[in-house]
Amino acid sequence: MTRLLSFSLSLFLLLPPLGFAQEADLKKVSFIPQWQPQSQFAGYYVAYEKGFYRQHNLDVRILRGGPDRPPSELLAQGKADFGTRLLTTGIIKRAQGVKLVNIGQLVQRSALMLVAKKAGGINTPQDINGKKVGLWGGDFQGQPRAFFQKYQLAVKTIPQSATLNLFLRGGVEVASAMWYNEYHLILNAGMNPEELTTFFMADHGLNFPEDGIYCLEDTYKNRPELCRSFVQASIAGWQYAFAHPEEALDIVMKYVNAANVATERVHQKWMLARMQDIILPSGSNLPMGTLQAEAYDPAAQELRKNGLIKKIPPFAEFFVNCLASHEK
Amino acid sequence: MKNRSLATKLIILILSGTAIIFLAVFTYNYRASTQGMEDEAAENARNLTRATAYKIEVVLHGAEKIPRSLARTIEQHPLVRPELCQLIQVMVGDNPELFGVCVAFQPYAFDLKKYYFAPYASRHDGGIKLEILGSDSYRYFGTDWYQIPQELGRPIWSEPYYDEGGGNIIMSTFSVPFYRKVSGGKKFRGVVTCDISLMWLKDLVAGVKFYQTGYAFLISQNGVFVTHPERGLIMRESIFSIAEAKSDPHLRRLGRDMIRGGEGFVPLLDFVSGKKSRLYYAPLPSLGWTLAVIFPEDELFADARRLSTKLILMALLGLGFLALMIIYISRSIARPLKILAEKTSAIGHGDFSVAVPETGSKEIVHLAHSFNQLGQQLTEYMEKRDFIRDTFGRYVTQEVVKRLLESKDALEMGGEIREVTILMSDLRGFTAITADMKPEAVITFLNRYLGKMIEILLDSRAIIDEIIGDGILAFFGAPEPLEDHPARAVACALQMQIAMEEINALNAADGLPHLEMGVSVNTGEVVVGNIGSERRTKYSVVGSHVNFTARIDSYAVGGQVLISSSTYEQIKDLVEVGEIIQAEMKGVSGVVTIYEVQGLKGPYQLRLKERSETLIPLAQKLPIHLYRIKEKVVTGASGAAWITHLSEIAATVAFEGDLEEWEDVRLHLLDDTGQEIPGKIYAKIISVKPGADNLNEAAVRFTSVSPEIYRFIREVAGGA
Repeated sequence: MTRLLSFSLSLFLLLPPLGFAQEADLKKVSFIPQWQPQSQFAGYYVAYEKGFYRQHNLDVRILRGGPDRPPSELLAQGKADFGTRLLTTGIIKRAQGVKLVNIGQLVQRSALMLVAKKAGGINTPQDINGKKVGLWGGDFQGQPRAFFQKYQLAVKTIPQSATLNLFLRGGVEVASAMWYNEYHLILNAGMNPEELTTFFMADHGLNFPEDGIYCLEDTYKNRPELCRSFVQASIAGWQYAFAHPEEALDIVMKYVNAANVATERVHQKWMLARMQDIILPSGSNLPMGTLQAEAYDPAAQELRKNGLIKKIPPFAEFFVNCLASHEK
Repeated sequence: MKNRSLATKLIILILSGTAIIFLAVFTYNYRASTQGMEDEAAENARNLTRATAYKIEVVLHGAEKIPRSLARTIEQHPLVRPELCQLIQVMVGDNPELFGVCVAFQPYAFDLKKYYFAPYASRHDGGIKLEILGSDSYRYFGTDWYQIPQELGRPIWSEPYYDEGGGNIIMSTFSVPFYRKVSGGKKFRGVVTCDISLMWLKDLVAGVKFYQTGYAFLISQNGVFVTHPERGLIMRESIFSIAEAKSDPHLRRLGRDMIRGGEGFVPLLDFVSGKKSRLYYAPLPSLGWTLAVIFPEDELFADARRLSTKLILMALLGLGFLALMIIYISRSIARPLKILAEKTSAIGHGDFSVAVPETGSKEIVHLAHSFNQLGQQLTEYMEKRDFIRDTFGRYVTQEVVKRLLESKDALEMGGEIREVTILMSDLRGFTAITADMKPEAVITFLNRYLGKMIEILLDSRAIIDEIIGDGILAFFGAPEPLEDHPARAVACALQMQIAMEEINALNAADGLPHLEMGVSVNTGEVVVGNIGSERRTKYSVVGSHVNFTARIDSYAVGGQVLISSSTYEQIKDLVEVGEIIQAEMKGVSGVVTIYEVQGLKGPYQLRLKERSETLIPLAQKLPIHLYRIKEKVVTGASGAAWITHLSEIAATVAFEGDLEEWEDVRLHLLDDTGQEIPGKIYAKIISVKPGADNLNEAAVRFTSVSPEIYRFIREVAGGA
């Protein structure tokens, strides 16, 4: 809180000269979110639209994300300075030798879940045994597979497409879903919550933190101030978005429409509310942007156990607390 | 309602009653007709929706045939690559409704060396383009169009999607799985798909019109809008997202029924316009989508509303007309009643001659007739009453009659103690004077006198208690209290005396005797009230003061007004007193002071004509006969007697024998021969004392003198 306060103060004190007089001195950086525009990235869009990046002396260009534009590749190729990734993706990439560092961990609670229809007789984890389960690719498989091991379930996994139609039509009995996105899409395809059984990975000892901000290790080494400014401004964006959800939604919908994404406002509203639930989980007072070793280790170990990585990247190399280092 | 007019009451009652009846009939009619319209609309909407759905189904069924037959062909005839590629190109070319046809195989299923194999023929720039789909970056095995028929094991239409070209063409893909026979069953080998543009469908649905603004829309199996006049909804919003945005659980329930293939007719608020609407929805079975027709309720009921508006207008006009009728009728009732009321009021004020016109309805005529009869009866009754009152009033006093007629209480027996002033008068020697007259002459003579006296008394507001012969008993101050009753009574007495002159002039002209009247006035407390029995009653005074007044009267000689000291005390400022008499009276202890009134000052300004009272000594004594009288009966005669002094009202008599003071006497003058000459004098002995020549000498006061004697006395006394 003290850190936040001092940050806010400095922000107010430095605002005029930074915001106007030194317009020309803005540092150009680019940012790539890991998916197409939606409330999952509301904080970054809001930080941009509300001028928080400029207040931090940054001229940010937000790149259009999507399935065909994986941030880690863009970062590695130097096409983007900052990007968001799942923690597991970050660990895998780091283990694969991509010199990425996590400079700000935003999502503390895992939104990943398995969803089943009660009508299919699934009420407990054991009921999943022998069923067809839709799973996303690589990074998203770690937790569900750990879940299956935990409950000793033999399932038939089916690659899950970008839609939930296979699940909705009955092609699979269990589907993967993010709480903030696919779960709501299922509801808005006419399924009622009471007709569904949900298994939150976080509730089954598999709470892997998710979205965080990454950059190349060199970027951080050479320009730590730049990294800190970006993380600070992004956090300010998130805080503003949670405090002004309707305004934040207006901003998100602007990006949604520009990208012609087939979604609508109530879905983005749901998503923004859930982002608040997972970025600021109830009962946690962890400062925004922080990654704890206690959260990192189980995720990394699970990845190794599943063979996705061979060696766990050391936590100290993986995460740099650029906010804390500023305080020194 | 209490004091409202007849018209208002009738209008309120009849109009509200009629309005309620109309409203009930109207409501029933409206309900029945709108129900009929709703049923008809539901029927029409169902027909329209089903017809439209059928049209769509026909096209879709046609489209489905191609991949179905191709799948059968592939299953039965192993085709080589050129054949397959040519086949799908021809198919696209031959079927304009198809956008593209693809045959996608499982890994290594077509060619053992090829992981991906999916030839795809599609329209492109007016021609037909052939591609082979599938690569590490496009793993078609995970697409809906491939995966879902694979997992479900049956053909399926995909959810709608936009075409790859980035155009705004909405597409759907029909995918048919095909298999390879293996021992004991079959193995999935791939899918045949055909893409069709849904733009024709959009146009077809957009072409559906219902009533004025009714329209149709289509939603997919996930509830997503495929077509809708509001373009922003298409492919973005679903019926569930709208239900969530509007927090409308009803709409969500409706959506769930729709995507489950339900059919129905429901009321709802149009989620775009917000208008109350009706929605008919029916499934498109092959797609699993739902077609709905929605139309505003006001258009559905427009005819009913128009008719209702007319009906209400007619009803209002009718009610207005009815109101006018009621006003007319109630006026025709009220007008005679109003006249009747006015006339009744006139009757109340005593005008019995009023009559109302006997026109109008039977009841009114009857009432008017009765009223007119009432007027006549009242007139007759009042005539009778007036006759009674007038007649009655001649015997009693108008004032008493009035009082009796005005108040029942006045008829109550009993009385009260009241201070009144009593007046008593009588004529001196009247009995004697009239003894020789004919009865008719007596009545004329008496009535002339009484008529005048009664007039004066009534004008002075006296109550005449009794008239006995020539004597009058009257009182002032009851029943109506009169503050000035003593002065009023004395004034009355003076007026009576003054009037005697007029009467005597008339009498003299008729050759009738000269009359002298004495009046006494006394004030005191008496009992006043209705005295008598139920059968005969008079308003009268009772008490010692009545007798006392009579006593005083006996001291009055002709032309005198005597008042008691109690009267005198109350009017001494006004009264002009002459002689003051000290008298002893029977039944009254001590000496009574009596005042002779000569005039009344103040507002009355009355004065008696002066009479010569000075006794003139006669040069020659007049011999007389002197009779003693008690109770108007001669009881004896004195010895020889002479008048020695004379005035108009008194004399000094020398006589032989005894006489007592206050004794009544009769004097007869004697001629030279000692014969009594006609005419006589009634007098009272005032005092007796011994005189010269052994005679006693009496002072006498005349109470009544015969006219011929009166002339003589005036000659002697006046002339002396």
